[in-house]
Amino acid sequence: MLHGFLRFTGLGQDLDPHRFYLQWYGTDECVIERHLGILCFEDTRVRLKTEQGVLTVAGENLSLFELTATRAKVTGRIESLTVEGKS
Amino acid sequence: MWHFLDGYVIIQTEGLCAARLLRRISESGVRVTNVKRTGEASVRFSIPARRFASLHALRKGLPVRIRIVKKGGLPFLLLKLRKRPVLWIGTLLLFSGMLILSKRIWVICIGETNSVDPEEIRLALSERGIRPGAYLSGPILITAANDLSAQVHNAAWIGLDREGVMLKVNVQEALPESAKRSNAVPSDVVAEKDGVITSILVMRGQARVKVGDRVKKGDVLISGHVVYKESGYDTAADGVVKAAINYGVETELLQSVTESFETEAEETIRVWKIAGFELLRSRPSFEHYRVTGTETVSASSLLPIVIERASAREIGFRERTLSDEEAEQYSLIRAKEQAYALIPRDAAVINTYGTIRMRKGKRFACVIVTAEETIGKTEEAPHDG
Repeated sequence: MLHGFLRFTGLGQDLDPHRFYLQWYGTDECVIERHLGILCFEDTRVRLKTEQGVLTVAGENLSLFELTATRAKVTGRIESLTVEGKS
Repeated sequence: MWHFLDGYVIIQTEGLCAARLLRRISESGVRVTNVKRTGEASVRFSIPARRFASLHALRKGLPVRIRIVKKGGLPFLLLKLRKRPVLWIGTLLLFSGMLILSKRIWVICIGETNSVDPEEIRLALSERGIRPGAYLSGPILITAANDLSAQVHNAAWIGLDREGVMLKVNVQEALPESAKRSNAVPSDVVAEKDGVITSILVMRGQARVKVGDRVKKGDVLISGHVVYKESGYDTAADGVVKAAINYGVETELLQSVTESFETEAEETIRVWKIAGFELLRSRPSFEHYRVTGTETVSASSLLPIVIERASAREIGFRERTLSDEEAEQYSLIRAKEQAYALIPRDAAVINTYGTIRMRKGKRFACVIVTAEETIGKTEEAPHDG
């Protein structure tokens, strides 16, 4: 299940440089642009700080294929993406 | 690719603050890749080798231990090679050698010919410097091909085609010059065989038969003595006469046939090929065999050499007694094959008839094949008086 995805990606709107931007490819790969840093990295959960709150990628055998100051590419078996916090 | 060219180190961290360390590294502008958790408190990741020095400053204040698991990429590979000069010099020499050798001709393959001597072609090529080991270019080949076509006897055209390290020589043979008979010597066209005339085309002389006539061997078909308005003259008769000729074969019925079968024996054989041509083949221990399941074992990317592996299954032979129906079928097929073998190559089969006949208490397979062929043969006309 995906919670809060449409609300924060700003689909159909001009891209806001402060909002995070998500590209999700099936269930085994997703790319988060404009994050503000990694908070937690586990096999089943990757938490990233964003302007809109904390984005949690949950699943199994998760790994970070790439991590830079603004971009994170999570691979593995992704089950859900949730954003908690500010709204 | 860039990761490899740049050089990278795979690091393992031990401690509970791996995520904080990762955040610090990524915020410092370092690209972290392949982050994987390897244990409850251990994480493994990869960073560019040149940024490793900054890692110690970034982990300050964090209860995390850092350990290099692997160093990889081109800079580390070059470092290794520097310590083993013989290896890379040898590799360099090997590749250079292969590159130089692959630009030369090593095999000359001459196509099948009947009247042209392959040795003559080989000698003519050698005179122009085209021999195994020679360096060749396109213009040289074109010039040599033109020269060869003019020089080699019985060759109408010669083409030189380079395929990798192999030179293919394609030969188009010249048609043999037909024997020309002088018009001054009077001659007739006579029948070579018995048959029924199906067509007659007179070029010179006068026809003595017409379509549908039955002729015997030696009969005059086109006469060299032309009669015109109560006078006559002699010439060399010429023309094309075709006739339907019967070829009959009668054979006693077969009682048994020898059949082939695959035994249980099987062995692996190897085939070495260069540019698609078989160079060498290992033989199995049995004489007769069938090759199946060919697969490529190894192939060179630089040289056109391929090694194939195949399975050879032994073929055995056994006698089998035929039933009446089978005996008739087999015997008719065999008689038909024998009759076809009698027919000249340029003949056209018009009809085939086969039957089983009883004679002297024995059964025979009889086949008659009717073929249309040229039967005219030029013969010097007999002298008058």
